[in-house]
Amino acid sequence: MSTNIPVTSVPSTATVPDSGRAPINQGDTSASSPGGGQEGTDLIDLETIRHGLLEVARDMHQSLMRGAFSPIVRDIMDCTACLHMRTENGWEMVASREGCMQHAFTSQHICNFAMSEWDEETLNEGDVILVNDPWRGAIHCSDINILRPILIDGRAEFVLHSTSHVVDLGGPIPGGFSNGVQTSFEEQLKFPPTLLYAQDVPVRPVFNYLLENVRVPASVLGDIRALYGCLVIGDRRLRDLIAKYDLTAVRAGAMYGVEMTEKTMRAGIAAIPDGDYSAEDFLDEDGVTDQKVPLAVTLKVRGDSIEVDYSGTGRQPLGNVGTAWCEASRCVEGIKFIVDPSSPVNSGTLRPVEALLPPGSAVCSLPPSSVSNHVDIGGRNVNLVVQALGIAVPERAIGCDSGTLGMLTLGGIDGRPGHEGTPWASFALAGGGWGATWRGDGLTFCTLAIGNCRTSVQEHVERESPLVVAQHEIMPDSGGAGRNRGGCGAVYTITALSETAITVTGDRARAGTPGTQGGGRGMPFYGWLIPDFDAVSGVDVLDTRGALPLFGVFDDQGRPAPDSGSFGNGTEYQTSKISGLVLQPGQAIRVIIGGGGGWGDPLQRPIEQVLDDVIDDFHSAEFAGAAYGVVFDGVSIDQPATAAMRADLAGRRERGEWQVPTACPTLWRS
Amino acid sequence: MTQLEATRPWWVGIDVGGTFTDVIAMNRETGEQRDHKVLTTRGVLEKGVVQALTGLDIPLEDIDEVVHGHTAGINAVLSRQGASVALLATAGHRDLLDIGRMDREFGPNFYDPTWLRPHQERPVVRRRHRYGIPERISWDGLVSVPLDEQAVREAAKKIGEAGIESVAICFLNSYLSQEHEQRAAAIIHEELPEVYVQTSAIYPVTKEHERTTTIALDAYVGPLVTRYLGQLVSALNHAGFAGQLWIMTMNGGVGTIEETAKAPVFQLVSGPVGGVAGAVDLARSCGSTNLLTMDMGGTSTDVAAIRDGQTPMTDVWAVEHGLVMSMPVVDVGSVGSGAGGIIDIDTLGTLQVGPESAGSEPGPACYARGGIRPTLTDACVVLGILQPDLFAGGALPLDIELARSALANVAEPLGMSVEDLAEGAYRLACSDVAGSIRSISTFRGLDPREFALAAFGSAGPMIAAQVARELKASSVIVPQSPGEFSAFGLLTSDLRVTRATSPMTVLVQPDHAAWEQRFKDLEDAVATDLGRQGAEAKEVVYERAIFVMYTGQTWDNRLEVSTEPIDEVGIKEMQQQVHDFYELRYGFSAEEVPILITTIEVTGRVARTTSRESVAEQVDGDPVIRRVRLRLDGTVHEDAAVYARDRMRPGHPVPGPALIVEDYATTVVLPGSQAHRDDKGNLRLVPDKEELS
Repeated sequence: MSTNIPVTSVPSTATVPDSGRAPINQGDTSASSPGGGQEGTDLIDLETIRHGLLEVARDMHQSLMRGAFSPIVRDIMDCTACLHMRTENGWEMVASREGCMQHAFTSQHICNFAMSEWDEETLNEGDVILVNDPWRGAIHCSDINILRPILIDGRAEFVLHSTSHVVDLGGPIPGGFSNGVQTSFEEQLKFPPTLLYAQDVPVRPVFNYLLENVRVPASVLGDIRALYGCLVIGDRRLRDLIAKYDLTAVRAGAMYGVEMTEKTMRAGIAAIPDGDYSAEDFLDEDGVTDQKVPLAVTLKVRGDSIEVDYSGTGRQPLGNVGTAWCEASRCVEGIKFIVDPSSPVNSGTLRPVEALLPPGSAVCSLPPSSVSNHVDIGGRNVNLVVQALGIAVPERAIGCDSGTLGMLTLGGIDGRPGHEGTPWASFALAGGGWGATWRGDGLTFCTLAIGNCRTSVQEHVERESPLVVAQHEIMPDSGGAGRNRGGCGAVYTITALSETAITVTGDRARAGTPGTQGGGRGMPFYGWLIPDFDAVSGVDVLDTRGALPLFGVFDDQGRPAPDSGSFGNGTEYQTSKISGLVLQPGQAIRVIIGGGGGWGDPLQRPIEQVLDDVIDDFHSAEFAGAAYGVVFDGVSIDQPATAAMRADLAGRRERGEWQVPTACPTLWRS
Repeated sequence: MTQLEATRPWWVGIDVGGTFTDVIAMNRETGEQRDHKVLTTRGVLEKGVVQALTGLDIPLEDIDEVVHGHTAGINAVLSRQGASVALLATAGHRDLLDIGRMDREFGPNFYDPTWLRPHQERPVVRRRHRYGIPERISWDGLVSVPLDEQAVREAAKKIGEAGIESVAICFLNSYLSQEHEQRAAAIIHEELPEVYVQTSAIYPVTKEHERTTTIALDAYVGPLVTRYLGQLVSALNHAGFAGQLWIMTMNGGVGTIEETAKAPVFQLVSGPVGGVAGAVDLARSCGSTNLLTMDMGGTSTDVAAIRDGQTPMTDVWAVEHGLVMSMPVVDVGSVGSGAGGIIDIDTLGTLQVGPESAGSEPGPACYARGGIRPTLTDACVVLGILQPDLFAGGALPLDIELARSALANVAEPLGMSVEDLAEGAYRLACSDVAGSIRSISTFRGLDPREFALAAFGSAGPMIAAQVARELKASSVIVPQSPGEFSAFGLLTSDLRVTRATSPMTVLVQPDHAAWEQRFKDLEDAVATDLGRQGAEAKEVVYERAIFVMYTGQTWDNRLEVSTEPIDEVGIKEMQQQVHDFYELRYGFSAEEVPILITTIEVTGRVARTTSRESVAEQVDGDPVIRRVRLRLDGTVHEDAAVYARDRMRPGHPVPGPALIVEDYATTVVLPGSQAHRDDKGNLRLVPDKEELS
């Protein structure tokens, strides 16, 4: 690849004013030029322009989400809008509005790849480019990217970028997560940079090609309109801003924002002791073989910069679980979490970090591999970076999140009266738990850190598709035990009214997500098919009678047993990456997304908090006994017995005879 | 004097805020206006109300109507001091409030791994009090699982044993049929007659999370709001009031106690809505039909954008992230701390003002009530903007030395002077408010240069000029009695009722008669509601709105539509209105896709007042009452003039730098700009030409 990849550190030459927000010791603002390239622009103007650009992005994002047609954009919000500006370093992202966090970290790549090979001589105002090729920076083919260069005096000065997951883009498996597929040739439509609108007129052959090769063309057309429309909105807003301040001032305000973010990122990194910090983990398997995919990162912290080295990561998998380019910048999110959570994400976020991706490894899969399930490896890599930083700065250590989206992709032909023959497609996300932190318990109901997906509006799902969402609730005993408890996982049960094809895309089914500082693991990922679903008794999650285990760690009695059972024991599949599952009317699928890892010693958790957890059914009394050493006497705690049990467990732990159990209910009816 | 209505010439607006209780009275015969302000009496709000009324020096017997706005509801939610609430949900869905749509809050905490969704951290309904009830209404409105009445009775038993005060009932798909919810409510009433019960009946539209939030919040504030209103009625009656009491609601209009008590959640922020109502009135009366409003009080700042003299409305109103109500309400947002905002330095060395607030206890350091952390008020005292002996009409003298020493605690470690910190904080507070106003103007495609900034609340006029300068707003308007302006807004509000229904039907021409009938049915229902509140059918003015989207979408958009009877042409016009709206707002339209109407809404309003314009008296004497040292724009002005607002002569320009003081507010006039009093008694600030460019 000869393209410019600006994730590598760019030396910052311009200076940034001391205060990020206001001139606190300068009485006269007009004299407070922050220097560098911003001479002559008042600090208030710089701030106003910086916010103005963020507002352009926000307005684009709102317009995209509210204007879209598929549930994954309009409800789940897997969509993002960004602004890029031409600089001496190529195209730098100056503002973004994340629906999905990972988009903000990868957008700059995508823009640079596309623009560097586009013939700018032929560009006209209103030309719009489509690209979704993972080897040109896209995350996976399902995330389509629409770019609108903004020409000023005949030259592209800005590029507006909108991106979203589209509900279907052809290929063997509806919905885009092509589990079990081995090459990109068998997958969805893949577009190198392609002219989608010429001077704001749709390029008909491209639309024809696209819409005639997807399962739900109305939905895809609607989303493309929204993706395009939000760029029109952004174009108007950006030109308003430029008309108000002029191009030079807008450039200055944009760079001011970038440098401000860079400064806070670097300040945060500089606070970490120099050194090399490593963490390792694995993906369950690649969906084709049953081999684990080892993942490794080493953070080399030097002054105010970090190199993220993926050496030690396994070879590129046969299945679809690797990624092409996106880990180069997606991993920066893990660093941001710990060192600089509050500044807006832009090029300045990426500047202090370089990444080394071994070609041919799982984080730099070469064509023509399949990379359609990028989510599990992405989420795991953010976990790894955060774990490595937890070694560097133990007081900032946090437990890992549930580690999988556990996504259900559903589709079929509607058979309900009045809807017969209508093709439909939908996604279902249960959310999961985030790891506990030094501050307290982990967040309940949140998808992986690389995304920020919302739930569907179930009343809309049930109206539009032949599904009944029977259950979406907190899963008891799913959050990892600890002084601070991991966020709770979730149970999601959905039944079909007409024949429904389902793809399950998950991981962390072989072992729960790790805790930190002595905290326990969260519950791993589980799935069942319930052949004869009873709408009333069916919502009792602990009653698995009549349910067929799909995947998970079970004991010989068919009970979930993450510490004592074995993976695949009595289950339909030996993986949680499934395609081709079909629900007949009246059947249900249930998944449990595990909770986050615990933080600190659960034997130290105040007993009042354990009592509250039990009363609220975040934990059962049985698990509270096994993991927290708390003994119940009816509905209250037996304090002397608890003290004795805690002392006993601590002693046994010392001797290597006890460890904090992985979160999981103990009383199943199977 | 006879005992006719004429013997009760006074109309009174009462706004109970977090710090102050404001009243304003208008004599509709003479146009005389009076106001008064007392500290809010927490826990016994009605006591402060009666005190404030007494302070007007008007016999309560002479008051014909009282319009009341308050923040009792929102304060209870934000401080989590509402009722203990149980939730009955469809089995399998009892955690909707925790899910909160699952996304993170965009903003400074977006990437913070320690962030928790507010409802997880501070639940309105604890999980132990959430009951999954076997029942199901399916997508087509039919019953697929009958209501398990025994389960409801068992839940009622536990709810009773737990001493719960209030029950929220929201089942999936109940927007299609409320049969189960109503039956469950009846059972709860039967089993627990003392308990407050609320259901989707208050606004039966789609989106289970938003609907559950609305009902749960109603259950949370309902008992205390209805209790308070009951106490208010008896306190007023006891004090001799025999007129009509109206309550301001978030739909921008007022209703009787009896009507508004049916859904107290709709008066969560009724006070700030009064401010917007007043500003709409101001916009219409003074010809500046585009106004950005900034209502800065002691504990919060509320902002709104008024375009073409129309009340701004929204259909998505978030109390906190993940607690979103979906119903049409006046779009007024609380954006940060007020004059009590604490000045501090964050970990990156950046200056902050707020969001933490000193409130009324201990209050700013200069109040000398034990506050030691510096606030925006303290900064203004040090800069000379707030004159210690003139504050609150001299009723609350400020201590400048305490202000200085509080500021010094923050300034010294930074090696800054107290004055530099004070000015930095003042400018930052202005810049934060300007940013918030930008988010409701620029972000919505509105150009602040085409708006005047209406500044009110006790502290609004003190920062208005600087905020307007940053926004490049065309001018500033400070209405009469800015400190009690929200109360004034209440005074002039219409009687208003809004009703909605969710037909979820495509908009096609052959159905025009059916659409007209749906609107007519709603209008009849609205007329009945208004009739119960004393309105006559012929006085009612109707407004119609549709919530629309293209088939296949889920974000509907509220569009106001014509009230002409709908015929085939009317349908066509509505369709075109939708396509045009999409081009404008979304950058595309999809004319071949059927338009779906999710909800239709009718508002009926009845003008309550023939609002007489009142002009405040002009007092004789030299308008300049003294000259003071004032620091503005980094420069110390040694002899800036201090004007008494009531002595200013209409039309005479006051050049900056200057202060214009009145009992409950101080207006800053920046160097280079000028102020005058217009013929309606409003203060107008106009920046110099250079800044407007």
